[in-house]
Amino acid sequence: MQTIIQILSGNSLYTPALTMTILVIWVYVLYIATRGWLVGKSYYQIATVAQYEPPTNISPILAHYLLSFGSESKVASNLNNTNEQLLVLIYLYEHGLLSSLNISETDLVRVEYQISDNYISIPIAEEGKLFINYLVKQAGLNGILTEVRRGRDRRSSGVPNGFDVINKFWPVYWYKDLKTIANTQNIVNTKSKHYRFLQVFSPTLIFGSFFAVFAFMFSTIFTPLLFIGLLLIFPQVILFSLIFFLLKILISLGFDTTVLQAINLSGILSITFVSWFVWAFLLVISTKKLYFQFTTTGKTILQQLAGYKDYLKTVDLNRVDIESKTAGSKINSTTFPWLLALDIANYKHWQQWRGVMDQSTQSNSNLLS
Amino acid sequence: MITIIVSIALAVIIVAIIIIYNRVVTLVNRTKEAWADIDVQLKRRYDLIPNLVSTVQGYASHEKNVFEDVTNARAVAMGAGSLAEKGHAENTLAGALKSVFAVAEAYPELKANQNFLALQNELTDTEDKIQSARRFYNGNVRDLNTAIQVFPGNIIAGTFHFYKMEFFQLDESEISAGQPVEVKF
Repeated sequence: MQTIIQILSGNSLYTPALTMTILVIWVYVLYIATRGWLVGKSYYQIATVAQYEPPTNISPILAHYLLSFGSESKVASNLNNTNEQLLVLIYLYEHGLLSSLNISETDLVRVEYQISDNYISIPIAEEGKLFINYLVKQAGLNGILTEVRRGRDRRSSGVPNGFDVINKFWPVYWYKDLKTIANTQNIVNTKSKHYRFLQVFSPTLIFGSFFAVFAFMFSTIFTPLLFIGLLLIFPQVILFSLIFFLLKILISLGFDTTVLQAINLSGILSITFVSWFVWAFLLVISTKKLYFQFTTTGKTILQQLAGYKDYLKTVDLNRVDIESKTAGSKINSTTFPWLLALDIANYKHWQQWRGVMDQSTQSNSNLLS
Repeated sequence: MITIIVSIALAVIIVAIIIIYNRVVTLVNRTKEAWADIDVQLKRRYDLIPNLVSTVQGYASHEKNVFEDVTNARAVAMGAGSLAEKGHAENTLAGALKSVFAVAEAYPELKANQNFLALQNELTDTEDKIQSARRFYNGNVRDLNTAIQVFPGNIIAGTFHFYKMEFFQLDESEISAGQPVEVKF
């Protein structure tokens, strides 16, 4: 017993223990980065089989949400996105839930909308129903939506910020409700063990490792500063302690201490310190991808979406006809919401869609008169 | 110094050759894959035609010429070699199919026949897919031909024997199994 206490009370193994801790952390970061890289490979780049039609079982809204999945850890000022909100509004209009939709853009985007009287009875995907219920609750059956800018001019910053009324419920709708729908439809599994682990470990990993390295730079040996730093980073403390005790046990079993103590900590630290931001970036990117673990169904949908996008882009986007509720289905046509959902709508498509809408408004006026 | 510059220039040229070569190979493979998809749809259509003919024959057995035309057109299309021949044969076949559907218009009982309706839907679906597959194929051919015609892709294509591919041309107005057919008596 006395021997064990003597072994544990010695501090000669702090340096190799800390070295090992940092090494293990980097191995873990590398593992996560590799997993994240493989996620990208398996979901998007292999899916090159062209699809001539979009997946039938999901809406453009959900499709866009899934495609932007993993890129959603936006800063607070950028939670709302005008383009995504327009996609939802146009989708509702195309399905007849909005009887009119007038979008004009000068320095701000302005939308006039009118919800159809019978919108409740029109069959539509759950995400559409949820949105329109929010909209009715917030603003009634008709109104004007104006885009809200924050900070710099939107054009110079290139950051759209969404519409005033929609912004009130948008974060809940886009970041919570759609996730629930994706989960319910068995497209994603947000209860991934990777995510749970990362949720606890990543923030402290990023902050804690940096702090530990920083603290060590100002201390030649184990000091209270480093100890406080380690206290702040609980998972690393556990890891450090485990390695520390493991080394103690190894030494008590007769392993050569000189090998362990010969580890050049300063060399490792200088390399890791320089490459820190690169590693942190890799980890953040990978964490995003691992955050949503797509199920088999989800992977199939992503492959279909990638195939459909591939098809649309290959056949020459400028020759794709915009199919609308006012026009019949044609070969080589798609609906405007799908172009928006796949982020491939260009100025010409907007013009074409506006043209279809103008015709629709004109024909409705003629019918009324 | 000159050695270093020459080495860097050579390295850049080699990397450029590798990139262009890989891009052309990728495009060739994509084009072949796109053609395979057209082929699958065309075969599906060839398989549906005998069923359609026998169904319509049950109601309009005296329209012998129409059925012979379709059968011959199908045989020619199946045996066509080049893309140009294939395109021409497919247009002829589409025209012959149109005649079969025109015949069906004159027989209300046939038009109500579930088997006939199912075949008509199948053919319409197949023809839509052929059109989509053809557009995708032609899009890939366009990209491939552009890649091997522009400089310096043309040099690499000439060196490694990559050739332009043919577009697959079909007359879209002839492809209309699901559309109403004008019948004159």
